[in-house]
Amino acid sequence: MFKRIVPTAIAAAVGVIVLTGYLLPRGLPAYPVFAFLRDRLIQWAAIVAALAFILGFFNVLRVHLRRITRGKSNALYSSLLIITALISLALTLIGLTAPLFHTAETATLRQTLVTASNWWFQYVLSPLQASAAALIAFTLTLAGFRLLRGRKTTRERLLAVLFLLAAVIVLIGTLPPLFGPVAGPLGYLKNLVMNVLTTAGVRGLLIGVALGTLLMGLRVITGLDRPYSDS
Amino acid sequence: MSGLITSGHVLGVLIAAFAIWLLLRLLFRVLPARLQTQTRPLPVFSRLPKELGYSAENGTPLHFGMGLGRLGSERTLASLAAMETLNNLAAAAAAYGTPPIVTVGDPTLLPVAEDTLRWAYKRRGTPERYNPTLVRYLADQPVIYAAAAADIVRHENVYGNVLIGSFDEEISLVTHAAESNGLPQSAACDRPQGLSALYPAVGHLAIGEEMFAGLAQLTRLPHHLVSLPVQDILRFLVAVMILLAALRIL
Repeated sequence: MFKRIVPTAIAAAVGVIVLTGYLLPRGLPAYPVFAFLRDRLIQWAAIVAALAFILGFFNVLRVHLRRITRGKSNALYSSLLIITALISLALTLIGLTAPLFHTAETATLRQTLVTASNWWFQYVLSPLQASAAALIAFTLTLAGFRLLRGRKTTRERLLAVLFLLAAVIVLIGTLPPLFGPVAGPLGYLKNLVMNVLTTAGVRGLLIGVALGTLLMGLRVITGLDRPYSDS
Repeated sequence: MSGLITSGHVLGVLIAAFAIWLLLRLLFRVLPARLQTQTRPLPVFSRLPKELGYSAENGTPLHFGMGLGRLGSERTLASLAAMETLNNLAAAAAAYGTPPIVTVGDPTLLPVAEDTLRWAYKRRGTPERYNPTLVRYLADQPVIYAAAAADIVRHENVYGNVLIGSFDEEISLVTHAAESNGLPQSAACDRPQGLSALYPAVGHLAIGEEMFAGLAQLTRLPHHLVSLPVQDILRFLVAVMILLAALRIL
């Protein structure tokens, strides 16, 4: 019982304090107290979240070391991942801590290591990320081509056709005006789809999500939902 | 706060929501079951326990992607909804012996997801069978998360692909990998960017607030089920206010 009550009480109390800190009118005498507590609790949460990155790093090492020790098929890639992770960690730490070791003797070494750290991010990590991102256009296009295949009922097929039609109209309507007399109506259709239909749909979706989020937040603050506890 | 919406408005909405919720909760205690909340079927959630069972029969795990939502951001509650879904599956997962591979895109979700599965094994009396590498933090960059999750789906012999949480369009990398392997897929997402990538690819999709409704369907807990009509009432009020504002009455 103790293990259930304490986390719930802490979560509820912190939630109420932070919420009150945001919603209390500034003119009230209690506002400075709640604002101070709000800022302090948010700072602590940010520190805990930063520590979570260390947990995440060790989780990555653990998963991939296990693959290597068990001789799984992707052990080579896991080895490469661990090596590059450790190199990235070392270079980042050096780049961040270099200003602390400010002596004349270490100036050249320090500059070299900071340059290596920046080079690693600029010419290795960023291009790799951009390459992975470049694949998204292809996977989305392939998904569009496959869209009608998996739809069995008439309603599903109709919705799929409308989805594809909207995508085609927006894509073609976004192109430079190459289509002569068709350019005007295409541009109008594209604006209609983007500014009216899509905006209305997205706003409705976001209102629904906001209300769902609101109710879930209330349940977490009041302790009815306890995703952090053993129950 | 912006000039139009003040903290008083927000507080009013919160109080109204809570008051309506409390009223309905008390009302549902006395109403017969047939008059209480009935949810339409949401296959993403109603099929989840079965999918877990099929994966156990097959001897291969499900991939359960919880996405990029970080605790402490605007995506927190979508991630908590995903966590609650995992919580409801954890007991069955521990019993079957083929628990899902859970991937998270933010390290703040990692300890909570690990504890969810670990407690399930502990409640079963088999804590030694918990495998800490079941929950994997992949990356906090969306593209890198998607690429790493796609690798898991493609190469780790998973039975199916379940994505519940907050995703962006990069998730198409994961769905493409699953589709290439002919895996069944289902997803629930709260963001339009992710939904546009998921809709063409997955067999079952829960859109936006259906993620929260599906959770109610899965858990059948009274405080979840009561929240659904509260959302409907508030949505109706919002729609009326928008209409009145558009007609320049408000």
